[in-house]
Amino acid sequence: MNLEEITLKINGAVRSAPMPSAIRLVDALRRLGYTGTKEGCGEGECGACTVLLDGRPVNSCLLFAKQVQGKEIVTVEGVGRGHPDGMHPFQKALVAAGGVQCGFCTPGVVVTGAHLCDTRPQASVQEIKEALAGNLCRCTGYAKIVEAVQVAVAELGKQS
Amino acid sequence: MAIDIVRAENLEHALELLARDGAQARPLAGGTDLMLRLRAGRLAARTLVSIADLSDLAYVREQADRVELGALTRVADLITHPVYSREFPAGARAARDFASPQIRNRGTLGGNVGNASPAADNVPPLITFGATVTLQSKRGGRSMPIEDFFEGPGRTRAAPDEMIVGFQVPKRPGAFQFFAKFGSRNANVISIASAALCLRLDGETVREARVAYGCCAPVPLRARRVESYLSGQRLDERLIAGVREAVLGDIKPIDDVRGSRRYKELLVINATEDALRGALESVRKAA
Ligand SMILES: Cc1cc2nc3c(=O)[nH]c(=O)nc-3n(C[C@H](O)[C@H](O)[C@H](O)COP(=O)(O)OP(=O)(O)OC[C@H]3O[C@@H](n4cnc5c(N)ncnc54)[C@H](O)[C@@H]3O)c2cc1C
Ligand code: FES
Ligand code: FES
Repeated sequence: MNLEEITLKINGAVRSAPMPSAIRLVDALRRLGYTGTKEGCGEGECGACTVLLDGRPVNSCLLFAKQVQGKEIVTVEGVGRGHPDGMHPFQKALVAAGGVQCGFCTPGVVVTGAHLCDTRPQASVQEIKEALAGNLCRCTGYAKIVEAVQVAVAELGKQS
Repeated sequence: MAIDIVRAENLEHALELLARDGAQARPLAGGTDLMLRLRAGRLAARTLVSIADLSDLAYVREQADRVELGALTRVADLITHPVYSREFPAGARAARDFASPQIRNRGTLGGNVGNASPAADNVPPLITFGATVTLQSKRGGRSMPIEDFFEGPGRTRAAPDEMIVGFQVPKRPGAFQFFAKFGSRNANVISIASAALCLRLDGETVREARVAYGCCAPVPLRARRVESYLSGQRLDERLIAGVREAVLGDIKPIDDVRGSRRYKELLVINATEDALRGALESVRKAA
């Protein structure tokens, strides 16, 4: 298979490697060492592979890496950048609330949830649930994830 | 078989690449449909022409009598755009009920139409608004009513070198609009069936009815029997009670993994009756 140089901007760093033209973003990220991003279903259903693309949550299993060269990609490894201890308040709140069990959904939940806290701090419980509708969790029952969003929003409000 | 992905710099370049590679090439927008088709081995193309960055084709533009939508407009942006939700609440509703936030952030309107699924949620409302689709190739441009664009599941009237560039949607001021989608849960599911209505009412008389259904035929279906059954009639319980026969005359759903023929029939009959009751209530409230 012909490889070509694919260059991605991940969490502010420029990374590049020879890869197949049609490689998916989720595979490219993992090859480049960003193994926080998980593949669950590979079909856009579960959200485990969620990353931010130019500031919006998307499924990296449905993206061709080559299509997103030069765009800002944020993975779970980059969500805490610029926060004390390198952890976003939502990550801390998720730990404190017990919103992590087996952990498979967690990287996607962290990316979606932190983005929600940062962009829509006024979201109602219903809106929080809708924002997380693309992230399936088989373990927690979601209540603690929703709670963690509310705690993190309050924390972010205090910081600003 | 290795697939090549080529990023188009602009519309000219995209049309050039499509013209050069003919049936070997396909436009690649958000990729939320194409990726799955590629992985299922159901993609004939060898070259994917990435049009995702043609930001000139991502717009919602208001004109006096219509709204223009660019093919690369993301479904998420249809929801948040004030003009789209003001003029076409049923269209915005379909966009809200569509997939998940992640897929709405990536999937485009042009891709939803270009994919030509009978389940494409944005299409039934657009049919009821009388939208046209505009195609462009190196040979020129043309447009057609959106309901005429589909030939069968996954098949459209676009030639291999043609791209959807946008849609013209006539405004429907004062019309009663309705959209309902039925799925196995509220988020991130392909419709089992969907129904859209756009009614121009004069008091309790239906002046013009436009009706469309999803998952009820090989293509998104404009329900012409239902339209003529309703048009010019007085909207009352008798009219509502009789609509089921007209619906059954239009639709031909199939048994599939998502639901039985009978179930889909009941869903769209009920949705149509609900819509008509809602319309009646709204005119009585206004009177
Ligand atoms: C988990 C999941 C849930 C989904 N839920 C829904 C849902 O609820 N409702 C729904 O309707 N759909 C749903 N979809 C399907 C899909 O997300 C939509 O159809 C989406 O709008 C496709 O847009 P895209 O930009 O990703 O298209 P792409 O995948 O890029 O393209 C789709 C097809 O259209 C063609 N195409 C794209 N752009 C153009 C153009 N400008 N001109 C000509 N042809 C073009 C492509 O060649 C391809 O054949 C879902 C998909 C997944 C994976
Ligand atoms: S792995 Fe991408 S959505 Fe499940
Ligand atoms: S913690 Fe197990 S899937 Fe969410």
